[in-house]
Amino acid sequence: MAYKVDHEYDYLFKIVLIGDSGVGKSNILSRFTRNEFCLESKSTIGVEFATRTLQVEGKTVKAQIWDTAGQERYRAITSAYYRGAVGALLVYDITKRQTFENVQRWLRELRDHADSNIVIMMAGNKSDLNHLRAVSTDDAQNLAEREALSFLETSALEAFNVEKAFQTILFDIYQIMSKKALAAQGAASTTSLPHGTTINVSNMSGSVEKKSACCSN
Amino acid sequence: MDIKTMRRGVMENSDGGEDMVLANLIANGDDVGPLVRLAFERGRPEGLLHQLIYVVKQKEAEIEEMCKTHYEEFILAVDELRGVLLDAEELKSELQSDNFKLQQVGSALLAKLEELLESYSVRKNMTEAIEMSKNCIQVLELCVKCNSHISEGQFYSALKTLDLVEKSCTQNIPAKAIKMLIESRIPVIKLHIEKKVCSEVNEWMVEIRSSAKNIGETAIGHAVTVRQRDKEMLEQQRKAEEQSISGLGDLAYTLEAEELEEDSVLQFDLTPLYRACHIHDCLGIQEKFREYYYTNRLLQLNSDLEITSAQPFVESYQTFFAQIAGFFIVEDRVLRTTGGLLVADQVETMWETAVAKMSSLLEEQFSCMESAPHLLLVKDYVTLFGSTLRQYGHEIGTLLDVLNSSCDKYRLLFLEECQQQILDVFGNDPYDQMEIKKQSDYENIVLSFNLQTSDIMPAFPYTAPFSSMVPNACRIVRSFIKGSVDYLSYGIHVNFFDVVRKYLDKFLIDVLNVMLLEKINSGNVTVPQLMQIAANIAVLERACDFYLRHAAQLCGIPVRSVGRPLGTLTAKVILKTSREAAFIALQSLVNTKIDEFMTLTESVNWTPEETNENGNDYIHEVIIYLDSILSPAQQILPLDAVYRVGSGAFEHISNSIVAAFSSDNVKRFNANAVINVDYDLQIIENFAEERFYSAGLGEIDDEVSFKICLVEARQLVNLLLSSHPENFLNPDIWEKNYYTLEIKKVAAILDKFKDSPDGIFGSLANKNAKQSARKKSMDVLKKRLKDFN
Repeated sequence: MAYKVDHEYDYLFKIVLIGDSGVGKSNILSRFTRNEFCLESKSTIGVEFATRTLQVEGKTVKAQIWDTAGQERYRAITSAYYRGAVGALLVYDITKRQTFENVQRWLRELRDHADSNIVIMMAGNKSDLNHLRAVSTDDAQNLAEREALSFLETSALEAFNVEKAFQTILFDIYQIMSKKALAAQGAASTTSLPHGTTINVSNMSGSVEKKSACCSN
Repeated sequence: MDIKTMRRGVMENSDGGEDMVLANLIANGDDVGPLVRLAFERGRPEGLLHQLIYVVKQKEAEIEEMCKTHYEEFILAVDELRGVLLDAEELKSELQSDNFKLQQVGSALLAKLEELLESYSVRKNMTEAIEMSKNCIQVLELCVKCNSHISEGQFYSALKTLDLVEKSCTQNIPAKAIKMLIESRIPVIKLHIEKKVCSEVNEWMVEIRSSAKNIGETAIGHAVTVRQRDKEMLEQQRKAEEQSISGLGDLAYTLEAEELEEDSVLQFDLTPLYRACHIHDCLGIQEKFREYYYTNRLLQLNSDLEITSAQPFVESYQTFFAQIAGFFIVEDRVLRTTGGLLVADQVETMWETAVAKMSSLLEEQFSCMESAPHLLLVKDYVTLFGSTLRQYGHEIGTLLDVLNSSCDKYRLLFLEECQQQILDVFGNDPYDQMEIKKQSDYENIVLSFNLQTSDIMPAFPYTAPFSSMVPNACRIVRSFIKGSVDYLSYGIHVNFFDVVRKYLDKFLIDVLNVMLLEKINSGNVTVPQLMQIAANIAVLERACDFYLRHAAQLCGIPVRSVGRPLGTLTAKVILKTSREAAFIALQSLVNTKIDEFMTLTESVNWTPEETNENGNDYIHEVIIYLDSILSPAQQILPLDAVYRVGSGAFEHISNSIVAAFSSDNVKRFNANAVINVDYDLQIIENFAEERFYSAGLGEIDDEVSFKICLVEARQLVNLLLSSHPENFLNPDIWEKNYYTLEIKKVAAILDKFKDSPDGIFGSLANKNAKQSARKKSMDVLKKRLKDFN
């Protein structure tokens, strides 16, 4: 889980990018961290990550974003990839229906390998190619509501909603962290003993409320 | 040198005449150049020099002469010049003085003059600057106008203005900074316009893509209308032909066809595309835009050709095909109206891509479908889709091939469905004759399938000769015909009547007939039910003519065309065979039932001591049973069939009686037993005769009767009771009275015939004598038959 560091930033949040190969995960990463877009489609090999520091609710948050290949042959690194992640951006391509239909499989993978409290946002990338759309916004919105995901349509090419997507994830993560901190304080204050307090994690997971899907344009 | 010259001069003087030549030449003004050049070229110029010296001397003499003459004038002139010099000196002094004065006075004026000149210079510069600024303002105004056009989305005007800006830049702007700035901005603006226009095209593509489904549905709707109208025309034409052949005369009718204004109905806007074409043409990058358009439309098409697995194909296929139809209708319009944005080869490539994808999709979906109506629905829509796009010049043979190859699957599924329906109909049949209460029912049930036995409308309520299975089966067959025709129509086959006919025969033979046979041979049907089945089959045979006529009608073939006989369905013959099978089964069942009653070997006393005129019990039971089957037979079956059932039954009874006498279970019998059987036989013969005439069979053929069917038993009994049994061996008498009896069988029976001696003892003398005589005769017959065998 995320930990607090005294210097340079207040929180370090690990976020993973997942989705089929070719949906634009790497360009989302480069757009957010370096404000760059590369037109050449080059498959990610293994894992890459980049960081960017930004302000969330007055706190300095360092986002460590991990990008992976969506292809099957890199699946061996799955467990390590998800370890410690507090957020996930699940990307599909609005011009390829199959990438949207595989969202369910990626969700199962998250459930199998990632922390159960992970914050998940679904992103329909390549919204600039509206004339080649194969997945309607309504279909995606319905799926997001069913699965309790946040949802936005993005365009890494036009930098549309990329910043907003990460801001939303980080905000949600921060909210959950704050609630956990408050719960921990509450638990500590109720005991008379000065040492040895054990926090029941299952109780806290029950109290976490997943934000309902926010509307896209 | 002078000395030399003097010497040569002396020598020249001695020559005399040559000196005069040069002097003359010079005096005449002639050109002496050639002469001089020639002298030096020869390398001996001395002669020429002498002559020249002579000429010089002459001239000097002349000058001195002139000076002597004008000496006085010279002196006067010099004196006068000295006077002028003095005057000039005086004038110089005056001028210097005036100049000084003038400079003192004019210095102030000079300063003013310098200022004035400076102002003139400034004015000139200002004028140039103003002129330059005017040019700049013109260009900048064009820039503002250009920006205005761009912000309002008027890109053509913007480009025109930009061209003017570019020309003005080249010619009129001396300000380098502005010029460089503008020149650097022009490509940026052009790129901006290009992106804007591409963005508009993308929006148009989104819009046209969402409209494509409606466009396609509208166009396919037109195809439906056209098809419906064609059907109505064909129907009228067919009726007209039939009536003219039947001698009713030609009908005069006119076809009122409304021409659909296709383009006015299929309204969609290509304006953004036209604008984009024009803009890219102005930008000089039409080839780039052409490539962009084609690539993106192809991507859209490929996206449209993907079907979602979230929705069943039978729910999404109409949307799918309408979308594709709309796409190509739009492309056809684009091809025809954009002047080269799209070329025919590209549309052809797109179409081939679409056809390949649609074909494989249809093959896949058809292989998964398990419902004939679904196959028919999709096939129908695909043929409409095909006929719609054929109007736009697209080849649809491949799609029709897919439909054709799926025809067998459709037929099998349809056959299964109809088979299930037939099974239900058979299972639910009450095997009772239908009662028809009113004329509309009669028309629906009887007339519509040509099941009537006469053309006269019967009185109601009317009892039909068939059960409800028959019209229900006819409805199923009719729907099978229609389903087959529906699938084959608008496909590859133009005249598919023979195919439909083959399918129909196969259905009737493999499904209907097989089920009838299964029912007949199932063993769990009763005699009246079998009778009804036989009657039903007779009607179904007659319905075959209706089926064939109906199929021809649906295939568009006039039924009464001269020279085009439809022939007969093979199924008709097969059904006739099945009716025969029904009768055989019926006979078998009746006989089995009769055997249950005709248990003579167990229930009859073959050595009774007394006779019984009332007959044995079995015969009454048989009569009751026969009555129970002949009554419904008269109701259900035609007369020839009634006779067949009755005659079969009576013949079986006769065989049973004879068989009883032959049976190993009967060791011996006496005369009383024979007399009792005679009584039984009389009872059944009376019943047979009465039944024959009450059934109305006597009206058909006087030569036959039910009684005749009992002849074998009658002859046997007659022989056993005869007072002269030895006459059996007389050929003439045999031919007349005993022709049904087999000699070997008779011999075996006679062996069992034993008369009781006790009876003889108690009788009178006359009876004794008579009995003895008959006994002797019988013994003779027995002996002879034994010898004969």
